[in-house]
Amino acid sequence: MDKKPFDVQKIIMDDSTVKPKVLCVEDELFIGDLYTRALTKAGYDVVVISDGKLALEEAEKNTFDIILLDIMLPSLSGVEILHTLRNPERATSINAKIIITTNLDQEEENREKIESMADGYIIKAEITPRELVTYLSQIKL
Amino acid sequence: MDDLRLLTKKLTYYFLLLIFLVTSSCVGLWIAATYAGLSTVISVSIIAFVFLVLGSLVATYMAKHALKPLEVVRQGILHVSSEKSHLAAPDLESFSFGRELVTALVMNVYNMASHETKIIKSTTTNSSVNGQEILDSNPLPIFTVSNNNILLSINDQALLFLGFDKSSRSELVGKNINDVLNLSFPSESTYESWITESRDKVLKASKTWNRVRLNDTSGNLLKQFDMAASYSKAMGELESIIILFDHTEAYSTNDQEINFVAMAVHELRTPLTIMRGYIEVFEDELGPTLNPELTDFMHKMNASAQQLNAFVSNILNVARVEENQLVLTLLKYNLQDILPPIIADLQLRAHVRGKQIVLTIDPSTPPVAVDRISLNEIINNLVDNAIKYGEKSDKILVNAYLKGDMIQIDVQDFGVGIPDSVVPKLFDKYYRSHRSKVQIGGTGLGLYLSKAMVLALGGNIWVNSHEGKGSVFSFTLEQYAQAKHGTNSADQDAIMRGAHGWIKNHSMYRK
Repeated sequence: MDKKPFDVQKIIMDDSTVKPKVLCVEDELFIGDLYTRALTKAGYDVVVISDGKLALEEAEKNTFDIILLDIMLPSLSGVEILHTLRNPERATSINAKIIITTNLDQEEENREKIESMADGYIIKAEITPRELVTYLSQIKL
Repeated sequence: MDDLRLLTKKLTYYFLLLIFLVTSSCVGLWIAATYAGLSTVISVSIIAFVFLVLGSLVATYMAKHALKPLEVVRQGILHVSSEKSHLAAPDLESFSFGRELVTALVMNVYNMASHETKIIKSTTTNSSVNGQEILDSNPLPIFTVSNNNILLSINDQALLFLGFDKSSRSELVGKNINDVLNLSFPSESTYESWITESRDKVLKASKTWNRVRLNDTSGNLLKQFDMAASYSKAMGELESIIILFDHTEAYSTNDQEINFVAMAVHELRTPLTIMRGYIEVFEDELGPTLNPELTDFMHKMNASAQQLNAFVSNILNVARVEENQLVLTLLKYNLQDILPPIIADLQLRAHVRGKQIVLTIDPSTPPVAVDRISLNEIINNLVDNAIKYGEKSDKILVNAYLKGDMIQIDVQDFGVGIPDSVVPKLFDKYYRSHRSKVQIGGTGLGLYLSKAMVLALGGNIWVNSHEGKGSVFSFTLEQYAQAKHGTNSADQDAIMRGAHGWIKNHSMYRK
């Protein structure tokens, strides 16, 4: 089921019934609900996972187009997940765009490190679900 | 010697004035005695008595003041002479009579003394006590600096601390201290400002700083430490000694160590995110069905959530400013691109308080060098202020234009204005205008933070206010072309900045 990012966009353009898949790694239930609701309405297929280890297992399957990744998570932090998924020595690279969605403000140096590995960095309190949809729609899959 | 002539003149005037006063009071007494019909003998003895008392008072006063300069010079000479070195240095601030002359004389004494010390030093270089050895045996990094900012000596610990080996000592000695140590300070009181002030005003001084950063030329953090410096005019060429106390590990944070403020902010933001999310759901789904009053309530709820969010960011940023952790990345922007969305986000907050923000950007405004997030915070704070205090009018004006070399942004309200007496304290932490105690909430962090950020961006901030007519808060930003010109990172688009001293230190070697 491996899809090349390029193909995904083509498929969306050709046939709107194929929905981009989003993995939302979020341990705060209500935020997960809000994002699922907004993204589903906007035509995304959303899976929410609240545990770090489980989320990593799911992401390893490489079936997602976008991963929304919280940092403070039970069992495994978002930063650790990011390191694993973006490790250059991996056998298979993960195609999904990884967007960090957190309310944790990092020191500038840490934030730069994280941003250089991820495809985006969002402070959740700064944006509403609608604005998240707009943000994701601007990302080239 | 103009100073001497001045002192002589002053003394003569004083003397004549006092003689005149004594004489006229005696004459006055004589006339009074004649009118009162006193006998000549009594009159003469009264006048003689008054003359004696007044005369001795005047003589004592004159002697004390006329001899004060001499006393200070004597103290200066004794201070530098080795036998009486326990004596305190003369206090040049303690008197006003002939200060110009005495200051010049005392400075001469100290200069001569230091010259002599140098001669003695150069004739005793073969002695068993070697200054460098003493410095090297000290476990702390030590630098000695001359009166024209040249590094005179550096000990082994300091070389190690800066990552040099011992052979580079000869390269570093003789360089400008600011080229050796690229420091940034957590407040406006920097080493540079302190030593400049000390040179003008005192003979001896010492000071300590906490959380000083050492940066490389592109602004990356290398070390963090506390710092102590001593200054003495009497030491001659050697003027200042700097000692560092390394705290790099203690002051730095990493992924695992999240400090208290960051944690508190995280906890505050989670429920905020949820509130803002559900308010949006309500607006989307119920919005069209609500009557105007309920729509207004919804807007107020949303505006308040936004305001709370802005306040939470303020808390975090104040902590960063104070821990010297605020790092800004200045990029090239057109205000036409970045100001409208910032203002658009603020309109709801203005709207629920019956106000509208009118933004005007002069089309000829050149690109600006700014950190977008910080600009957002500054505008947010100034406009929030205008919303709170602009009670009389429904308009808030935001104007951006080029003025001189800088780009200026004005935020104008037509509210109660600020009394002159509180203006100087307005940008202090926790300060709120007197009137706001009753009516208006807030912590007073906003203007304090705005000032720190504007300074970090290389600009300035101030207010013009008329009570009853309103206030204009103005700040300036650097043009991109100029900010770029000033940095050494010619190949990069981004310019890194930190709060306060960082900028000052950078600007020192903009050549």
